[in-house]
Amino acid sequence: MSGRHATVAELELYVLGAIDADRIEAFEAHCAECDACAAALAGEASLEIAFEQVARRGARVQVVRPLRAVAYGAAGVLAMAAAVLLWIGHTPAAGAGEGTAAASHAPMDDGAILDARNDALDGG
Amino acid sequence: MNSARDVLPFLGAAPAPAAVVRVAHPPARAIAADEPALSAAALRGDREAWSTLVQRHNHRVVVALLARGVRVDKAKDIAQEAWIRLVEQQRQGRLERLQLPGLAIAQATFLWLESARRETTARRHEPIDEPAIAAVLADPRADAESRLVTEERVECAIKVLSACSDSAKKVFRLAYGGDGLSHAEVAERVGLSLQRVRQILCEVRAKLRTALEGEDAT
Repeated sequence: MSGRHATVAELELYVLGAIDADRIEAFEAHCAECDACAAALAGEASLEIAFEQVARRGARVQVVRPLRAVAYGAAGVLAMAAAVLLWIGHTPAAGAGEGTAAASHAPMDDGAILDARNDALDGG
Repeated sequence: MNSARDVLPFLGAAPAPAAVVRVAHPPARAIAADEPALSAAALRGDREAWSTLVQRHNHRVVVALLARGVRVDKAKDIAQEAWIRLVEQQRQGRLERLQLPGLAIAQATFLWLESARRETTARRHEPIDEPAIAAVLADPRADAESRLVTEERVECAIKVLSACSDSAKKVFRLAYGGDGLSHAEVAERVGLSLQRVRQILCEVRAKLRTALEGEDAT
């Protein structure tokens, strides 16, 4: 088997695409052959994908549960506002015809909705 | 096949960091600023555009394969083949839209399942994951990765994330929002150094890791 075992820090850096350039080759050669390191790398990559799902769904979950956010006072109000904005933003069909067309030509509105959603996540 | 390789001569090289795009007023949506233009150019067959897109997204495709337990050498080969197939599809006029990295991941996943099926057939009598293959074939753009992580794990991690600082949440969201931002671009958006961004990411990851692995044990 080529080279030494990968460290946890190296596995993490590799998945993040931030491992030292002069270490990549030996790291990959080792992980291609070593069962333990390959399994550890798979676990690290799997976590990375879980993080993506957390990032994408985090905001949605906050809005689905506005009651929890209300407990944080002002932050809760923001979250509620975001929930309303999101609800409006996610039901373009309600506006039908011209409403949908207007929305598609108004990227700033979309941005505002995203901002509000982001605020909700920050506040919660 | 070789002609497509000529277009992508750098394939197989170490992942290069995407160029930092400086924008005076960052758009609300966290997406690399030049991504739509690059995708459009790639759909017209622009080599430079393909090169940039591959450099930007190839690592993510490899990570997707690693997460499925594919060895790193094979994962890199499959990712490379996936890009070649995409370029070929574009050249044959069979590519109408280019959403990356999703489309490349779907293509790579399909190639991996195909090779797994061939290997299984060669060994005979072993059951293969037909539903997974059918799902990929039915809708290659579907989020095939969602099955990798259970809802419980994600829920648990979301709770942990909500307890992090606002700036940590913002960095995390930008880095993992799925819009192809490099860490350098995230740093640009939040006005922090690249090193600080990576430090924050590692801190958040460490917290989520504990949460996800704890959920695993139960």
